Amino acid sequence: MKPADMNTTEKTLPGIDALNTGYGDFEMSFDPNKPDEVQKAKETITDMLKRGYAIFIRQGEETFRVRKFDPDRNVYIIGSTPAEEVPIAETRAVAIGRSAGG
Amino acid sequence: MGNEATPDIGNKGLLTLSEASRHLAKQRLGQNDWSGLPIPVPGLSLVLEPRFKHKCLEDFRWKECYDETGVRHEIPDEPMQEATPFRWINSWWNAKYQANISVLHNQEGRARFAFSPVDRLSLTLRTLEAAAVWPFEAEQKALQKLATLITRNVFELYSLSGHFTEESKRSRLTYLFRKGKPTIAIHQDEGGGYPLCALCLHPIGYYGDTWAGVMCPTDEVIAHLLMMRGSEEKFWANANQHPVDHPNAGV
Repeated sequence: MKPADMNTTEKTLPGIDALNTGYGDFEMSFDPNKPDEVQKAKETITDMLKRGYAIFIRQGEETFRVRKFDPDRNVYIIGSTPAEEVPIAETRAVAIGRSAGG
Repeated sequence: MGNEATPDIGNKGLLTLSEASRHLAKQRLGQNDWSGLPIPVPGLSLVLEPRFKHKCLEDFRWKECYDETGVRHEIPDEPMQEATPFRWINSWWNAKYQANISVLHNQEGRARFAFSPVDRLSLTLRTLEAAAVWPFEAEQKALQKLATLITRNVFELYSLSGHFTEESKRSRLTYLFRKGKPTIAIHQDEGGGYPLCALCLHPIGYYGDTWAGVMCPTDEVIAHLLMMRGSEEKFWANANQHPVDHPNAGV
């Protein structure tokens, strides 16, 4: 394990990591140049948001919660302006299941 | 475990709870259960998010278990709770007496009170029981993930102590993130730091009367950290806010 400063220049494939009871976090990656993998990623993100998962992405020094996903343009929407859209091919997201309080 | 929640874990022989958790998580990915499945623990109540697809797991009860030598043991049914003539009206935490005080009404509408001390040691011991469901590999993986979210120094501090702090850029509150315990929100000014409350939040679910969630402890730290950074108001809205002197706060 190599702890590092929070990754702002990721070289790994884009994708989404879901916190998971059996795996810690379950990593799903996709190659933006492979349409079938992109399609699978879009379906996964859409399904997660439908089920109430909170999806977080990192932009620069800031962490944002994804508000919506536009499957036609393959972008996460984190605000209300075009500048607040992040292509899914340019980031790794983290997904967290609905909270049960505690 | 009910139709939706009784995935066949295959011919795996005897499994520990943590092994079952891993097998079920792997199997359920095909059904888009991205977070895996919570595993009920004998003797502990499983509390799940109300809209969770497999909420029926709350009602699951193990009937038998096997010890390390393979000897089978029956797990007796939990005794049914007797119907009570009292109706709950209100309850609150009393720091002086370190107990929950409840006001109840009997059938005639006369008020009574109940005094329920909370045993901190029992909370700790029950949390240890719940830890049997966390796969060690899952915690290691969660640590790797956390290492990408915080600086090296902070990660080393967490590895050594199980705690780290981070100040919110938005509210300027300081949060003390703790492994296996609720996060403490602290207001700091020139006079020092004042703890506001303990924020208890578990993705998917948790085991009642413990500090344990269904996910391994560092996964929960990651959830708290990301929610604080990316959606602080939702973190506060979704978390249970325990007084810092309440045993549930784990201070």
